[in-house]
Amino acid sequence: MGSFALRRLLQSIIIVMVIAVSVFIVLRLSAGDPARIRAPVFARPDVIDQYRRDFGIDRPLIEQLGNFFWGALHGDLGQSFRFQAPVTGLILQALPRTLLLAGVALLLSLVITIALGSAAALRPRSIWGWLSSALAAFGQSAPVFWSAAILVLVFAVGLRWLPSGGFTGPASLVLPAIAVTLSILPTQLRVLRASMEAVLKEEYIRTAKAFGLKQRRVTYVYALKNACLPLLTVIGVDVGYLLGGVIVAEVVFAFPGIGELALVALNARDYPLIQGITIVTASTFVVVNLLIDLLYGQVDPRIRLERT
Amino acid sequence: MSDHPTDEFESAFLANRRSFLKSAVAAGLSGAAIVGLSSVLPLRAFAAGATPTGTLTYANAEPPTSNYWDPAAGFGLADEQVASLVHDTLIAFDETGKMVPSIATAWEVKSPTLTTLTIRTDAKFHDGKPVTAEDIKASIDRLGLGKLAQAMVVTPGIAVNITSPTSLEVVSPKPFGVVLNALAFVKILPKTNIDAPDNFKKGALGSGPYKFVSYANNDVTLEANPDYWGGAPAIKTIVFSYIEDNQARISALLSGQVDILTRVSAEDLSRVDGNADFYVNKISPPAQIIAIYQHNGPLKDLKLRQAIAHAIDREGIAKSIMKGANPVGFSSLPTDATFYKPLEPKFEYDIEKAKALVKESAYPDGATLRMSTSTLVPNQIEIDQIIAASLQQIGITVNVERLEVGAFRSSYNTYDINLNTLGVFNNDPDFLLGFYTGGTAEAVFHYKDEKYDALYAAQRAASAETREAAVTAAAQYLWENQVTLYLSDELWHFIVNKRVKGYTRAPLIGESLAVKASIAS
Repeated sequence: MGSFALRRLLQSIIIVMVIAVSVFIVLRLSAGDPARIRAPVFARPDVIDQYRRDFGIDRPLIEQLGNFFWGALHGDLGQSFRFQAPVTGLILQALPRTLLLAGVALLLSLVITIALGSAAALRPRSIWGWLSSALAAFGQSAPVFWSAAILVLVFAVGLRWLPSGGFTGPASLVLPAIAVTLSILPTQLRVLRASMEAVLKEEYIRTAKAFGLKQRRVTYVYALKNACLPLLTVIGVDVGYLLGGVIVAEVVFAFPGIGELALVALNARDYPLIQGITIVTASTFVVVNLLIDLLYGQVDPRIRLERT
Repeated sequence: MSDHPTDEFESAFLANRRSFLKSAVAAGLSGAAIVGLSSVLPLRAFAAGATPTGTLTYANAEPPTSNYWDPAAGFGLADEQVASLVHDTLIAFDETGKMVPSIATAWEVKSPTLTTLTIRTDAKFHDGKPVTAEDIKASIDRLGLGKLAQAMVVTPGIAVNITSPTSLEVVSPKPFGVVLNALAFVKILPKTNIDAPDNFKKGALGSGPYKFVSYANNDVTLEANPDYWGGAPAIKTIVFSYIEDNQARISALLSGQVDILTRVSAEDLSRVDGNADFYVNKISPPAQIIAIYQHNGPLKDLKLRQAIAHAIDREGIAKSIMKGANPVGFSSLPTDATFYKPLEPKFEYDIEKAKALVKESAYPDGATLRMSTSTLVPNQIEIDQIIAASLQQIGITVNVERLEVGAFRSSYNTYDINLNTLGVFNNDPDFLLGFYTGGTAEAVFHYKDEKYDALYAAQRAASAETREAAVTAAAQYLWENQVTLYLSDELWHFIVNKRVKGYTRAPLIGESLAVKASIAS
């Protein structure tokens, strides 16, 4: 188990480094000059050249790459071109809000998935089965920008119950979290329902029932444990989506998270900030997936045995 | 929705001011003396003895250009909004564009190279230190060195001589006729920050009616300065909020989350049309939408440029795509710029004239142009499509390439033609005319013209009496030669919630007159 975790950790570090180098190179090959974007349109050439010197992009590429890695190894992701502030500080300001939004959305979707998915698997022809199918179909067909706009129009502009955007407290989380939940819910719901239906047909479930265990205990303790293995895989993928994919929700709700920060950085060709965001989100993604891999073994000991 | 509701407080204030000035003129006082005496009614003297209350929130489509709060280093909308409230200037503008006292209580233009000023002694920076002549000298002298982005609003070598703790001389090596405009723009900063620029990273420190509090969560927050020399403003907190998405901005306004939406499009205006909860403020710095030409390709040909001017139905575009939100003038200056006047020829929409001019050009069989388009200008893609279709009619093929905003801004000067907006800091056209000269002109559109350089220099050096003629001569040259294609003005429409009372703007980028507003709870 320990060696497996160590091996995966080393793999993760290599993956993050490869991503960081790729982003570094791709950014510099893509169209757009950070100095020209930063300067006003009427700036004289000497002002633009001064920006290039200030940003360090007048230096050879290999020197820039070396400085970037040297700084990153020391926990310094550089200075943002756009904000003229340390990248680490900017990310640390935005990331917790995105994690909070992602966490709330994930929690909300899991609660709905487990409750509704299990109920639908148990009674496919009941109202729960219908509701599960309808919710999955709706979530899958409604893009985030649309559902977000509808939520704002109804609950912020029309009823004025909740803020239309920004981040001023827990109320600001409600609408973005619902919009994001709607986007990740369908896959979770379908996967858990199908998995639960299969597990409920297995012999050990029938045996448990034959022993007189209550249906609720059989479903939510014995069946759910095995049925949620595919769901763990989906959650791993969802985490990646949530870290990058909440950009749309963050923009529509003017939610000051990592997605919106990334968008500003991209528009400004803010190389250090884009690199920093990429490293942090990629690291978070691989760490979460590593944890999920380890969790597989805890949920199903057979997987742990196979790995060792 | 209505335009500029009149506020009782504002009316009374202006009436008092006007009657005072009339009395002073009647008493036979000189202009400089009037300015000096009028300091008893300075622009920012708005204290009513009440404690500031409420929060006024603006929604901008752009964030501040950086976290480096040196007002001389940037030109963004949010930067100027913050700077205009956190910092004082020597001279200020009222909503009609007239200069009024601020830190300077009186001034006199002694000669084209010398201006004298008297400064007030009761102004203090937000850290409690007094505003001194040394601070003013440091704030102006550094722009004269020419290294900062805002150096182009002054003339190289401009400097301040301190003649006493309350009197200054502003001297320039060359005649500088728009010195007062420059002094109404340059922000007064603590010399300690200028000497140690890293302090600008800590936040904006000035002597204005609002103190800088924070820049977090995309919001710049300012708080009323209770010790302001002009009295505490009525609104306690002002927030400049950056909301990237257009739909999110309008939703924030309609839901009451923000009070003022800045620089809105014609589509946004239609969203509040007929809504009694809002009104529109249209007082703008003169700004225009232009097509930037590159003069190192086919568009160095004068006849071709003139042909394009005749081939594009500017009034039609303004009426249909811009929904009448922007006036169309007949000059290289926006219609609300000082000294604007319709010029001849009109370059009216006339396809036959356009075709004839193409025949007279170096490209009688037509030409092929590269155009880049993006979303920088409202409705840019639609306008560019119309321009391309219009030019096709006169034998000019336009290959339009759509670029993301960052790529567009980085590469616009490698395309023959592209749309852009150009705004001026205040209603004087000097800055706009400066766009076509020197290093800027060469960098932006590969343009160098000694005849124009001379006209530009002449208007800059002209005295108040001769300036109108000098500005018109420079504008006429640009217009006749169609150095760029002037498409229309770009009025800055702000949608304001009616709970904001007494809101007005000076024809500036900043929000210096927000100090006169109050907000209903």
